[in-house]
Amino acid sequence: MKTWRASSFTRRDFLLRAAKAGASVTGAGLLGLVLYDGKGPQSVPEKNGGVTLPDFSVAGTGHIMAIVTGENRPLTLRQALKLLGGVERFVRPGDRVLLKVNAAFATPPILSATTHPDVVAEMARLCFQAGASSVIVTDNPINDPASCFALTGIAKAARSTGARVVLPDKQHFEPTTLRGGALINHWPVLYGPFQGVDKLIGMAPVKDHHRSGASMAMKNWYGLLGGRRNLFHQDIHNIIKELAMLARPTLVVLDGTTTMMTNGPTGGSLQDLKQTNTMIVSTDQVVADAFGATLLGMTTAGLPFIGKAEEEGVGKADLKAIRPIRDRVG
Amino acid sequence: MSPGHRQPSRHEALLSWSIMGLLGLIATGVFIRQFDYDPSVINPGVPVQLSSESPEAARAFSAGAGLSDMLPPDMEVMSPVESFGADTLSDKINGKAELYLSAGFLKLDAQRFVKPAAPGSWMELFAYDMGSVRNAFAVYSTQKREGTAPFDLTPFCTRTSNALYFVHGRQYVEIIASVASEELMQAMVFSGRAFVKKTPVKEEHIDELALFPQEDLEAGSIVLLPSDAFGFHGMKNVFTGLYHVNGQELTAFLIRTGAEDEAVKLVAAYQAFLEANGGTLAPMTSPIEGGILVEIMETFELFFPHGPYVAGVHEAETLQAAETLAMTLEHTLARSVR
Repeated sequence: MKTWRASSFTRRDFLLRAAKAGASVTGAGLLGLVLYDGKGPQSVPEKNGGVTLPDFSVAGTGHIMAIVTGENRPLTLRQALKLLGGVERFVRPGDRVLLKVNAAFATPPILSATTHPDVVAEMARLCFQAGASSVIVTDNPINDPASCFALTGIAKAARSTGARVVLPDKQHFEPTTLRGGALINHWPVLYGPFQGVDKLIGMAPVKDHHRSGASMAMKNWYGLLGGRRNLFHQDIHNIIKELAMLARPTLVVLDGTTTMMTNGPTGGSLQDLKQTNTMIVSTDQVVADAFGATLLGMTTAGLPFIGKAEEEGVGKADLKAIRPIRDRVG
Repeated sequence: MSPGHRQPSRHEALLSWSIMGLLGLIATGVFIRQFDYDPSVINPGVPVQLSSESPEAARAFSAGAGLSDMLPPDMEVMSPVESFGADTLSDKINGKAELYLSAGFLKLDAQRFVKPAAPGSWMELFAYDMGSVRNAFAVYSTQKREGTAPFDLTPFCTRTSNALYFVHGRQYVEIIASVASEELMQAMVFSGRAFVKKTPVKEEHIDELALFPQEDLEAGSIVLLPSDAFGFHGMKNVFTGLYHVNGQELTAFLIRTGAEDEAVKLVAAYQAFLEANGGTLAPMTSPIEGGILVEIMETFELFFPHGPYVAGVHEAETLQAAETLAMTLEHTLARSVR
């Protein structure tokens, strides 16, 4: 067996070993250089600097709101839309409509933690009657999406009208940056279902919320966020404000037929609920939330996100200035 | 002899190659996995088992999982056990996670059971490991629904028309039904009893509850606030109880600190907090040792140290009512705490 001895270690051996060591170091360095990502991990591969949600509001409608009291959701919804000039004022023949529901939890409709299936079905039906070419129903829930849409009854209700339920998928998320925002910066949002869409209608229940005080029309856009969005709970009022700046809907439908007064946003007991028998439909999500707050026995002062959104010009919080149209059915 | 003067042994060479091979495998694994990195991918959660799958498959979901022991005889497993830790709890309960986290939450196991003959009739069992009976009591008591009747499953148990809530040792358990029916209530009670029977507990007692005077105390009204009680950051683990004295509703509170001097410091800190928020010191007419009376926003706060405890009355409408309840509280503490 050959052994190394000082006397046998020649100049040639030394140069050879030095060259090999140098080649190894250089190779490792080059490999590192090839694999080096100077930008660091991005939320998702960016395409042309990210996406932006379009403005879905209908020109000329301004800040209008209808409040209809009654127990029957389809009836109150229809009447509220009628008071605002009919669904045809907002949905034109051939329009592709997206209904952004709150399907956050895999819970039954009786808990009122999610958008009620009757409201979803009626809204989809009305859109088709107005000539919509397609209606998409979507959300990015907290729990497993398929379970959420199934157990809330939303999937069945939507499909019964011919609407299509789009469950969030990895490919549906694109990074977005909100101009003037501090929190939504290269953050993945549920963008895929919005492609080709002409009208956006937000549909949310009125709920107590442990973190933000209330979950209504503006908080409903939280379901557009991807990634580890629970980080934003630390700055909940500002993220709701920024989401309201990001999503400019055609209409919002705020269902206060049954209001979750306590233990929100999940609730769990029928004793958390109160029959408030109120359907709110508005072009202005800020004033819709301002009125929704009254159903919870709260004021806009107790819900900072409302004032913050108003300051950013998202809408108006002054109910008197809006002068909602009121009616009662049933 | 220097290391350079000998050839590595066969054993050393083998070991070196093994290490190099292992490092190579790790590097390959990291290289492959890094292509999948994408934080926009949602936590997929656990899908509900659809009715088309066989009951055998459904039962197999929960093989080895503790919650399947709570399965009522006429129900089937609807979804596998879902488990959540502190970093994933919000994936299940979203904005309510903070309530549990601030109370010492450790782990949540949840599972759904369904009546096969009526797929719309199902229930979900949530078992929160809160680390201690006090923590479990905190989340139980702060979420207690108004007007709910106590139920005899455990010392801390209530039920509503569609749900059962109880504390069992360090576990806080919720069982929530998809519809309000007597049939599902029976199933929930079955699961609750099975849980209690099959889950051994070490502690069930909370000392502070016995320190509240029983006279005029609204039954089941004691609540444990884990943090930021009365808007003051220094108020942690505060027990409150609702009293009805001479037609007035009053809140008594009790905090156990680590030692007597800590109790004295907490009294001083709470006084400073109230004064900083517009409160003014007021003279007391009753002798309560170390007692502080602050008038703030047309209500009275009366509080005092007693051994390692701080006790008091919160937001009393009249001075007389505040002093009456505080004296009763002090006497109870004097009898119970030596």
